[in-house]
Amino acid sequence: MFGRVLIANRGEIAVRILRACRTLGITSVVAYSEADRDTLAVQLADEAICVGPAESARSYLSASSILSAAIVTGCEAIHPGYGFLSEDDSFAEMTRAHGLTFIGPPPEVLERFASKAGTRELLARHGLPTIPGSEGMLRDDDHALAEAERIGYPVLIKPSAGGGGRGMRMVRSPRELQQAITICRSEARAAFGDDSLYLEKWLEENRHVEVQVIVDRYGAGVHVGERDCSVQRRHQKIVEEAPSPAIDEATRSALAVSAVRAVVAAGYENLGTLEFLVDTQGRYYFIEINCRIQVEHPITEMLSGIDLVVEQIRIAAGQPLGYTQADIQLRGHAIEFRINAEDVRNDFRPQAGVVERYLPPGGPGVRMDSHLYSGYEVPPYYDSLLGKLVVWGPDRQVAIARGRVALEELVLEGLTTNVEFHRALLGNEAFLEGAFTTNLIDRVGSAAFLAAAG
Amino acid sequence: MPDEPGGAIAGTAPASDPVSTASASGSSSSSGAGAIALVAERVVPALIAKLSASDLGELEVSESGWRVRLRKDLSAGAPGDGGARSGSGGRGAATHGAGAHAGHVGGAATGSASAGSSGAAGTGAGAAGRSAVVRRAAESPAVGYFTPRDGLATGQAVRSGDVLGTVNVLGVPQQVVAPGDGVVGRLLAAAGEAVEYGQELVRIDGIERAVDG
Repeated sequence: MFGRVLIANRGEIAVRILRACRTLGITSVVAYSEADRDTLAVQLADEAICVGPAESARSYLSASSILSAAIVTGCEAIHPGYGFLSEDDSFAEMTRAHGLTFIGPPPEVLERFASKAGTRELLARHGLPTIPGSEGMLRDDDHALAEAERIGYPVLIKPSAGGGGRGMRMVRSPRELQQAITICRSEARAAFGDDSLYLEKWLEENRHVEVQVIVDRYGAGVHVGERDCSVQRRHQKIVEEAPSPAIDEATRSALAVSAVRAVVAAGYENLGTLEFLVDTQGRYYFIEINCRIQVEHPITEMLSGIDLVVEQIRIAAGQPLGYTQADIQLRGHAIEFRINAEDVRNDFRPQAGVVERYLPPGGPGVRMDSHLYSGYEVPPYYDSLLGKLVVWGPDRQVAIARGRVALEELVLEGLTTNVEFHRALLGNEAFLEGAFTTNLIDRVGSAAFLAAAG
Repeated sequence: MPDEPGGAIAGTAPASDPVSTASASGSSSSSGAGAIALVAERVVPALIAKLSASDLGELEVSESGWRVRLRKDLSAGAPGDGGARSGSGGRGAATHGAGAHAGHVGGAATGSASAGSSGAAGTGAGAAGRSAVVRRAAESPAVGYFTPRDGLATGQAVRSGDVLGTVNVLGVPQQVVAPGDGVVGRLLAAAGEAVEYGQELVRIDGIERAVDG
């Protein structure tokens, strides 16, 4: 096991990693930017080192600064948290080249899973269903029509090159397909200099369900169940829960078992999350893998009793998993509310300022992961996550009831937060029925969503 | 802007542009002979005029891909005794930038020259000058191991922007520069010592005129 670890992140996750290190008897050194001098992780750390100015490119994202900080403080490993350098295979390689350990998958594993398209192909070969699509690029209209017929409408026409929605159209009929394909070709040619197109099945009302896996260096792997992250706004997760209310037991089991089997077979290592889209019929399709700790990991910890950050560190240190799937018992229901500094009535604009008063909620099954304290000034340079309020109950109803109480109890003054949104969500019928889909907030509009809940 | 990037890294931030309005050259971006002519004919004279009229020790401007830095010897005395008062020395002065102190621009704090020069113009000539020792420190530009310049010793005179040593970041040396004119005071970090970003490494005592009111 490591004696000293550099924590190369900020905010709540830096505090979370610090706690895991303490649990393992590891001395932790917190790397921070000039803007984070007063943050909780720095105050709680065994040691702290300033790595650069507020600008993340010159601090948290600067591979050489972070690595140099680890070296000069005598650390043996670096925990990158999430975001920043957490999935950067060249940083992981650089870390190893200097004789230190990157806490996460080894560089060659990160590299193997770096490309989304490549990962989809790789895991499809190992038995994971992926979104149905055309076989290769569309040759002509006849080929497109035949492929669309085979996949089933509606389909999404996507350009092979580029991104950002250009050259992309959703079509519901052969007629629409024929009209759109010409436009898509010319848009793609103009935007990317490449007019090759392909088709993908369009999932209208989908849910985002992800599976947590832990795989050690010796090929032993387990899943720790799934999380449902369907409450999103513009593809940003806001609330997550586990287990998913959208799938039955048979699907739940098949999803998790196939996920862990596929990643073990594909040579994955360390903690990982496989993201899937689940359609209204309960069919699931793999979309991507996240090779790091996730923001929403606490709900899995509440269900399983496993400290995922500790597991991540242990595995990076070369320890074997030490338990099997049969040892993992998932119990009850957990919900995480991301508490963000943003104005929900003003297009969710991020807020900065001083936290005048902060009192986290408590009671049975309530956990608050946060770096806040009264008097802390939230800097404007980083993401708006202030903390994660996590509630657990023996079933979903109890978890929701505890969520309501905890949200009422949370005192966070001085900043505008999205707590109002969470309160509205707990009055939303679709959420209460467990029928929330990823497009719901954007389709209804957040103003209407808040108004409907009163 | 308490955390404005920059600190003591000379030349990393885009230089402020105190006289571009004076030079009125607009947004010309050519970098050929035309640009040189422009710099020579318009920017340099404007800069000299500005520097002579102010109590600043140094001005720097970027124009058409060129960077011009002009220094004057402060001990020789400047026409007009106006000057922006320097606040506390050290870290605060170096990082807070904007108009807090005259005498150094160096690219460290973007905008300090323009604010300083307008401040200097505003204080006017004829005000009673007063000398004060201003303490500053050269700060570490990065996390790494510090090596002072060969022969760097207490009592040496340095100018703003002088290289006082390096911080080795994974084998790549990064320069530690003097934040202002003055005399080397105490070395705050030993050779070979691990230092963090922004850490004060070399004390610089500068003499500067300050003015009341």
